[in-house]
Amino acid sequence: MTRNRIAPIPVVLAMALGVTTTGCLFQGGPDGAYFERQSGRDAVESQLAGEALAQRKYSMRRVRRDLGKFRLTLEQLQRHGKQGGIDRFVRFAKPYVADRVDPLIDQNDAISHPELRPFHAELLLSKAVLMYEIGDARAVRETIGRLEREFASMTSMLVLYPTGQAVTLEQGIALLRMQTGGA
Amino acid sequence: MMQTPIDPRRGLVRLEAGPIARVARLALTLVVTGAAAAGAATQATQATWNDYLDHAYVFAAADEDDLRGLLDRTTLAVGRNLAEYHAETFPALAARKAPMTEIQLRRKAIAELLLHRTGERASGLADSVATIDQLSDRLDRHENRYWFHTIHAYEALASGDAAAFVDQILSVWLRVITPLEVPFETYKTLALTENGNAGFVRTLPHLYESIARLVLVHSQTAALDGDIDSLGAIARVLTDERVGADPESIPSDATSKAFLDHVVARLDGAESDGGSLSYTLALIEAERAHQRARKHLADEGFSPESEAAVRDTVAAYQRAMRNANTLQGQVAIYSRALRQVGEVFATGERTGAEVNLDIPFSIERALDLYRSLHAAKDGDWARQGYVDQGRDAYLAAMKGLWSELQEASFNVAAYYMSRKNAAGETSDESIVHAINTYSRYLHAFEDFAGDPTGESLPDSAYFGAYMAARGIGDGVLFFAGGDASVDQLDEAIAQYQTALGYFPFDRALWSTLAVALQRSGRESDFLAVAKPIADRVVRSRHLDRWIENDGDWGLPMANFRRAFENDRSLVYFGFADETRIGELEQEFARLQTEREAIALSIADTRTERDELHAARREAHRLAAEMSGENEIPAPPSVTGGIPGVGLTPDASDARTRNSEQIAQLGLDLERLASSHERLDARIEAISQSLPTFKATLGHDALLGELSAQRDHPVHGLLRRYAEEYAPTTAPASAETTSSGGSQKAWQTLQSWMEGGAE
Repeated sequence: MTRNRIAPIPVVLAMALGVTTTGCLFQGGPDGAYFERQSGRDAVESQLAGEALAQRKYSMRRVRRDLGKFRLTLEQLQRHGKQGGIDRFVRFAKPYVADRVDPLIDQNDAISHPELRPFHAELLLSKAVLMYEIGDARAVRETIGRLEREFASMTSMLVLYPTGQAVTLEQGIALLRMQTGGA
Repeated sequence: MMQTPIDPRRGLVRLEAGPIARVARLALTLVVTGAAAAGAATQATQATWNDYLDHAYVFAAADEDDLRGLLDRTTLAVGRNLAEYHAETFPALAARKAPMTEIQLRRKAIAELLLHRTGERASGLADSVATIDQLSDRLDRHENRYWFHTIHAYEALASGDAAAFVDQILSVWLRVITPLEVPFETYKTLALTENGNAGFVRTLPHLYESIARLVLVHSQTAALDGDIDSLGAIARVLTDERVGADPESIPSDATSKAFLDHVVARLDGAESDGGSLSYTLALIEAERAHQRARKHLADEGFSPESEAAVRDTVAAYQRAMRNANTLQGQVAIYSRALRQVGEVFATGERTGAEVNLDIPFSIERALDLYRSLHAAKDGDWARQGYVDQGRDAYLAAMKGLWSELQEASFNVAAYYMSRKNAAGETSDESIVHAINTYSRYLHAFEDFAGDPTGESLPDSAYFGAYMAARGIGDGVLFFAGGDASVDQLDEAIAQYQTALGYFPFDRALWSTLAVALQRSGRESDFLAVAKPIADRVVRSRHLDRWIENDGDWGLPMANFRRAFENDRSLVYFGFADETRIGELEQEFARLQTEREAIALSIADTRTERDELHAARREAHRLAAEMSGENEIPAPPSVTGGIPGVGLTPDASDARTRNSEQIAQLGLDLERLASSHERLDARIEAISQSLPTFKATLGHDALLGELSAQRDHPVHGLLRRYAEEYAPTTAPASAETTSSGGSQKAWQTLQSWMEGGAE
């Protein structure tokens, strides 16, 4: 929010010039405004609804399931110690997350729309777990940080942990920390 | 197979039923629809190869035969074949000064790929790769990108480069599918996917289908023998509302959804290899080959086709084996390969033909695998591959392997026992093979039996132990043309005892035991050998509970138990069978008749004696009257004739003879009564034991049921029964085999067989 402060010099000058009308004083655009601007136009909430909301939910759900399948595959490759397969899959998974997952969790409506919040949180959890499997500790830390920051007031929200358990977000974050060793 | 008559009036293709036909029908329908749309632009009423190639994403991944048929029908519709189109179009375009356009290059690359896939252009794939590479600077377009990676994926398949194949498929997913999914969902929401302006986005359902076929089918058709496990993720996500999810584009039954679901279920199932896709696909392919081989063997015996099919199966199992990295995976393969071993040897036994097929999946190696699995029972079983499926899956796999190992062993042994030499006899070499096979099973069984948790072996293993022990005994009896040594006979007897210890309800085996004892000169030991085994049946708490609870075959088992309680009935098990029941009944009737005759004789003798008594009394009375004995008490010593008193010597002699006859009749009566008493006892004993023995007849079907059904409930009873007592394997004691005792016992036996009293 831009704060338009009234500069003292113009005021003095104006007084000196004998300009007495306050109307003239506050005309002349934002720079000359007295009130702190709180743009209602900018604050109009543009929530998704109807088909668009349903489609977003569908996308987020499916991507969450896809991440779960990627995690499982990566875990199995690691159990076999197939380093070639792991490297190959990581080369696929990282850009996939960047191209498909991040756009979904970076959209504002995902956090602001109450119906999308659980999906948003679940996607972050899933991303963190996948990144842990990939060995990207920094991405895990960042994602946990986002969860704690963006959902600070919503930790009692019920979410699906990537392993399929229904937990509160607080429990989910705790599980995530436990699973990733705090990353 | 696909039947595709062209309907020239409508320009549409009619296809007969069948999933592949449906795919092809769908493909052509879409192609023709696309062609019709394109027709407006070309002002043509007939579709051209250009139209078909622009829609090749629909059908390019079809199976080779289907693709060839599809292109043949297209040739009829278009008027020239694809090779002609290629030869007439692209060299001319290349000869022009202007370079080919993007769409021309794409069509050329697709045409060359199709010609490669149908085998019409040897250099088709290389040409296609070279052509599509010319579009490498135009990969901003999804369609170009799709064909670029797809053609390179085919190149990787052709060169057997699994890593490159994986890279290309992952690239298609990342760079084509992923960007198309969001707009596709939007178009779908707005019902715009059938809109011609939706562009390449609307092809997404076909791209899913093509990728599924490339990964699941073509990788196996090309016998790709490398690690494609990373594509497990793609297979899994394809099942999630992708393949088969758009019936408006591809009817559900025309997609590969069923196969895909099957693959993914197997990938995550108990017979996976820690989730390895390479392994799962190879094993499924091997199973298909196995099914073909099984059918050939059943229909044709060892025909060249059957043998080729078996060899194909072996090669496929070996390929799966090369992809197996856990015990879980190897056990699943061996469980199947052992079944084929059994089928091959069973075919040899059935047809009488020699088995000349080399199947490098041995029972020994399977036993090693079982030992390794078993060793992990209380420890790191999860690390053997079962971490996701759990301990129950691990135990089921261990028992399943044992069951296959058991069946394969018995099929192999039965085959060797069925082999005849030129003289029509079973050769000693074959017998040795059979005995060794049975022995290997029995020894392995003894290593693992007795686990009180019941987790190590399937219940049917205990019946298997009976079969193996009986098989060894039979082999020994047949050895050397049936002229086994005393030691061998002792071994056979011991094996029969073991067998009956595990399964005492085989009536024929009791007779065989008696035969072995007879050949060993120890017939008299029968009761001593049989009784401990029979007593276990009588005393078994598990059997008692089974009978009380009316378990399967409870009534016949109760009959057996009643018969085993009775020594005479037990002897019948050894020395009588169904064919001798008539004789025994005749004997029983004869004894009854004899008893009646004796009773009659006794009555007659008594009458005669009574009459003689009466006559003698009368003679005495007359003699007394004549001698006045009645008036004067006779002196105590009057025995002979006294002159002057009227007692003639003749009368005295007659009375003496009379007395002797009476005495003789008394003796006769005593003898007859004794005989009658003995007969009574014998008849009474037979009347009790014969019906008891007869009640055990006619239940031989149990043997067949237990042989054929691994999960027969009686197997569970046999396991508990065997665990209740250790099997009686010790030979008969020296005491019972001593000559004096055995002679007496043999006489008793003979007496019983002939209806003698106990």
